[in-house]
Amino acid sequence: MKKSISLLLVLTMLLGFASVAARGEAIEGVPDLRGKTVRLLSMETYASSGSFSDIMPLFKRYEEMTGVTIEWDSFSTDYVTVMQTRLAAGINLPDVVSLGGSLDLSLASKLIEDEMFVNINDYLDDLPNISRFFNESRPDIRRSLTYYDGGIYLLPCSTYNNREDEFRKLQNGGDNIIWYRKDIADKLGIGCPTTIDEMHALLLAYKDYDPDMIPMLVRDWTTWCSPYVFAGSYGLHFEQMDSSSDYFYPDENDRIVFEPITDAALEFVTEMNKWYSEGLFGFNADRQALAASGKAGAVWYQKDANRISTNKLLAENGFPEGHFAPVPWLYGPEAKRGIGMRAPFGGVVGITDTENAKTALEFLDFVFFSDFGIACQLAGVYGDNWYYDENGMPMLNDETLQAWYVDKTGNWRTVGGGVHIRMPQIKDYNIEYGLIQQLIDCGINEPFTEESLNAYLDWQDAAFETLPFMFYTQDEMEEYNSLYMDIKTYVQESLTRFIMGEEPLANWAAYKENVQKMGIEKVVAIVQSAYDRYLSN
Amino acid sequence: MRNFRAKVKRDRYVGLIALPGFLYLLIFNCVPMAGIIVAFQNFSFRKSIFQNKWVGLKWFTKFFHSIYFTRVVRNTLVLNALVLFSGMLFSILLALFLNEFKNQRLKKFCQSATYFPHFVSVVVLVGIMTRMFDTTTGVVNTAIAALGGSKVDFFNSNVWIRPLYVASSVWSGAGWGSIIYMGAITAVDPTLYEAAMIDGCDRFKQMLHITLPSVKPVIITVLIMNIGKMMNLGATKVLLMYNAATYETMDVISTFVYRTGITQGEYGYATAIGLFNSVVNILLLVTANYISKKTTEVGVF
Repeated sequence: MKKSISLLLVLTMLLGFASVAARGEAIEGVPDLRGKTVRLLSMETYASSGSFSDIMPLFKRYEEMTGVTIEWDSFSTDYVTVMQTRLAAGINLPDVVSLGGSLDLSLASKLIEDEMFVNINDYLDDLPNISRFFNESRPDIRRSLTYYDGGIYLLPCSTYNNREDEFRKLQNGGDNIIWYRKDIADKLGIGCPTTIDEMHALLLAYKDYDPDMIPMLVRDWTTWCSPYVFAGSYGLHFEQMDSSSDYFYPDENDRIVFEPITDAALEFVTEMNKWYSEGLFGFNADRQALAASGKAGAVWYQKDANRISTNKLLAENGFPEGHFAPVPWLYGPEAKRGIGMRAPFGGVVGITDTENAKTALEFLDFVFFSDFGIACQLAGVYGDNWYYDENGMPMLNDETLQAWYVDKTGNWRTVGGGVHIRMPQIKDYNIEYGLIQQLIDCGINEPFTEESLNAYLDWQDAAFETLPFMFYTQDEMEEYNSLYMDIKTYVQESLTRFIMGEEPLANWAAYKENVQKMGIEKVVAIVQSAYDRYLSN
Repeated sequence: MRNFRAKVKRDRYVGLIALPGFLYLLIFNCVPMAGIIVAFQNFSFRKSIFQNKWVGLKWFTKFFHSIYFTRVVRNTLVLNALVLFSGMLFSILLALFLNEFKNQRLKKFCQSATYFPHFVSVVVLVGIMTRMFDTTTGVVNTAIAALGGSKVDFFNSNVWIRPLYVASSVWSGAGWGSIIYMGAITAVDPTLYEAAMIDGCDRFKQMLHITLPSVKPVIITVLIMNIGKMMNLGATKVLLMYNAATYETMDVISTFVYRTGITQGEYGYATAIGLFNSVVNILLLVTANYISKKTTEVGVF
């Protein structure tokens, strides 16, 4: 009996080793980090204080593969303050530091200038995947992240591996589009709007049809979901007010223009003032719920909103014929249209100047920048969730597809991938859309409907590049901050007041003069020199 | 010296009770004051405060030269004054009102009910207000419309946003603030009320001529202490409530610092503004105390 048990144990162990060995064969370039530790400081809303190595099988697997111990230091609230405090403390510094969900240029510059982070250029010879990313996949990001002294001190988060891919614009457009109640428009004999004027006519018709209906539902004045979303139809590029760089844009000669004081801005503000005074805008954060309850004529909402079944909810709320359909991006008076693409990367991480810097970089190089790491970020744990097909493409296995089928929210975390931590997470369109196609082929068509896909395609045509992220010299940064912070506040406030009618449009000239008096020309010159430097990097 | 030792020995237990509070003040209030020098330095994440580069009054000059300096100081003072005076008024009225309850169970229930809002997170509070005053589905605007009125965009209106801020602060703070007055009222000598009743005072007159004068020193002390915090206004609630449409009335020092200093790692700038606030607070405190002592002979020092 004892012999049988022993034999069984030995066999089990051998099978286990064989399985690990089989997995190992498919993976190249795994760094040997045994006995080493990497400490990661990151913002995370998924598990505010937990260890991802415990709750995410993917990171457990990374630890097994590389031998490294990952120490997580994650916070969900007031992250930037916590991060700054940790760095200012100066002891027990984390090795990898996320600078938060959005990138503050001043903060990033200050931390670099204070020599908090190592120059990644010094380590590139030992980082094959990061080198390939910067030099072959995304030289544009390398240009953006090159500091004025020529060093690279930050790595990008949430970006894509293949810049020129046909899917880039589809995915990299912002998340939202306009949806309209097609059933009511049909009843009123109005077709899908294609211009700003047609949209205006449709909203007025909604108002006449039902005075209690909100003709155009947006969120508020200061986020990406405000009346400013229509700015693109006027050839303007500042629909996302929170991003300071959106107010600047290079013209066809690569000269920087400060758009909020242009004639196009006046035209846009005048039109929005008309819409506002006619009561066409409604402000509410609960756009999905309001739209689903039949209280909105049009709504600015996620472009894949059909995936979360707004129309199904509409039917359940007493509108069986109710149908929200996407509006193609609207042309303005001069036949212009456009909407800014998402920034090429969302957030950055720096590697603190400690003796552990090389280990941290080798870890990031493999986990986030290697082909295997990129596939894992998208598909989950290799062997458990996915496998390579005969063409070397990652494919989800049956259990994972089943999990997707059950959890139609499209949450990759349920299968171990899509971690969404604020780390240099790189994606790959070919892999991502291959996986999505696999889901669709299996009949799991929840991620996209035909209408959503058409909306995506329309966006591809309308999307434009935003001004790239660029560094300033210390002197430039200081002058930029001392002048631009007040200008930005004044411009945001003034544009909103013009639209709301609190400031008469007759005062536009005075507003423009004030902006000039506040030193906008100097600021434009600073942005121009940074842009010139970016182009020459 | 011998006298001092004798006093220490005599009051050792009182001193023991005071020790945690003393240590708290020492560790969290006195020691960090050394950090004030950052207001005159170019703060560096890498260096200690003894190694930072001195920049003199650079950060103060930057703050004073901002075109929004006057506005943010004005808004801070106005919002604080409104919250302070209306908050105190409602706290005192609530304490007087609760004191008149004869049914002790009902009194305790009302006390608990009025304390409860103090524990509601400011995020939740603003969330409730957003829902209530929303132009599309909010209960307030629905009622206004049902009564034939025009809907009001409360959160985007410079006229309404301050009253909303103050009223919500009063709602969440009046019950909690009334505790100190309730304590003071409890300490009033009951024989005073008996004598007043014999003299023919009704309950209102007792409140007016006995209760209020008896708690006057507490009211003045609280007022002076609060005036000493006039320049401090937490950023959280304002950040949650304001937007570009209401900067004119709601942009305060703390939100200004948050936008232009803290998020950019400019701790020198943030500290300079903090120091400026503290100096103004001390001046206000001393002035209020002086006026109070001159007029009512009550002061905190």
